[in-house]
Amino acid sequence: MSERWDQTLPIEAAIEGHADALSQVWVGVRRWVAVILMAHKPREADLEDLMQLVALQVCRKVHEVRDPSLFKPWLRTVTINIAREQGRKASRKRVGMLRLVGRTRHEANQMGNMQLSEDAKRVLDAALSLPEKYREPVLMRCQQSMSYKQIAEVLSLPETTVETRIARGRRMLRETLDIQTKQELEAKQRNNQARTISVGGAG
Amino acid sequence: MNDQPNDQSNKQSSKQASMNPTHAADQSGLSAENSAHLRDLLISRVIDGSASPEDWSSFRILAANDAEVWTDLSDAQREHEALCEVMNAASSIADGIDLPGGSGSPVVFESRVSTATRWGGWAIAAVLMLGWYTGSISMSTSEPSSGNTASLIPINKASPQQAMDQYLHAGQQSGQVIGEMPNQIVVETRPMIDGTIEVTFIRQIIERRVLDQAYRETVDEFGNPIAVPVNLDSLRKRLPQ
Repeated sequence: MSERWDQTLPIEAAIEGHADALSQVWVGVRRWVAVILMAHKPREADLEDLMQLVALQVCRKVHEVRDPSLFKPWLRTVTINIAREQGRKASRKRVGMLRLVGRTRHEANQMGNMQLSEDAKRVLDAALSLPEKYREPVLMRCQQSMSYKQIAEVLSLPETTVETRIARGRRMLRETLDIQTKQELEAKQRNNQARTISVGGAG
Repeated sequence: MNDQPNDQSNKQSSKQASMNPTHAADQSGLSAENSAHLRDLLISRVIDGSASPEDWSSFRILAANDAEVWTDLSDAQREHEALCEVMNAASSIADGIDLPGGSGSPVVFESRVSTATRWGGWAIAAVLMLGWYTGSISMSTSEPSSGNTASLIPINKASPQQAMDQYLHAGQQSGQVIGEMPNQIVVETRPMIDGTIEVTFIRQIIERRVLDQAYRETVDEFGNPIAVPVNLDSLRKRLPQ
């Protein structure tokens, strides 16, 4: 089954209770559900756990959606609520389980179970510090199958606003990382100076 | 910060600008904010591969006047690729998550979930209280039946897996163990230096007990945890006749 965004998803049939249609819809939307979770979940919360909770909620509540055109905004709201509420609980539970096996939160991978390069972790950290309205579209655009139009549909915003937010969000991300890099350089220079003075003093 | 492409006073020109930066860039009298916005849009479109020939012309003019735009473009491209790496990892996880309940009807599934939710709390409370009063759930009560003693290995000589299998088998025969959940909960995955991966996980065994007394865990006025006896008669009255 195609994993890309599909405008012809059988949302109406899914709402009416057809299990196969619901499965098909889920396969069509689960990647952007993951992006929304990434944008809103606490950092140490496990993405897989939260995805399962969203899947469960979709099964339980999809019949409450009154209009197929509202399905995507509804799913986004459900996903954000789970990311915020369950994410906090899940992260507390995870810390508890780690303690049980003699590990601390810092020893655990801060990005859940994802294996990421240092650069990716650094950029993600900066992206997660962006204001919410910029963070979500910037991350969604990195999900290759999503166009501006599709992002606009999920966020219930005009396409031009989405494009503006992505462009501004990217600039803010660049500026955040620039500031970080400068601060790191300054800290390194201060350390080097302190070491030089210390060595000079010792000599 | 305003979400719209530009401020309210030049809304019409902002719409044109957002859709056609080239045209807008040619207009005289653009504010610094508008220029910055157009610069952001052009960089963003180049990264997304959606820049039109007009956008590229505009970008070239911009770069001729401000060489720093190339640095910004390369930084933005690198950051975009780093985020794509994160989203690819997230997509891989998402692709492994299917809807629960297989091909069952969502309505039937909903009813199963409601039942589990209604009674699940009590089941958890009962197990917790059992653990509290007995210290830990003991395996000694599950005596293996005499018919299977031939396959038993003395516990001090059995491997952990053999001991576990014996416990499950004996528990199922006595009715104390219902079974083991097929899915384990992964607590942590760590790559090791020798190229292997250490996985710490929880195996979930479902046990069953029949109790003639249950306790609800609550807190007293000082916030200390206390156990309050539950009136089983009132629970019995709620059961369907």
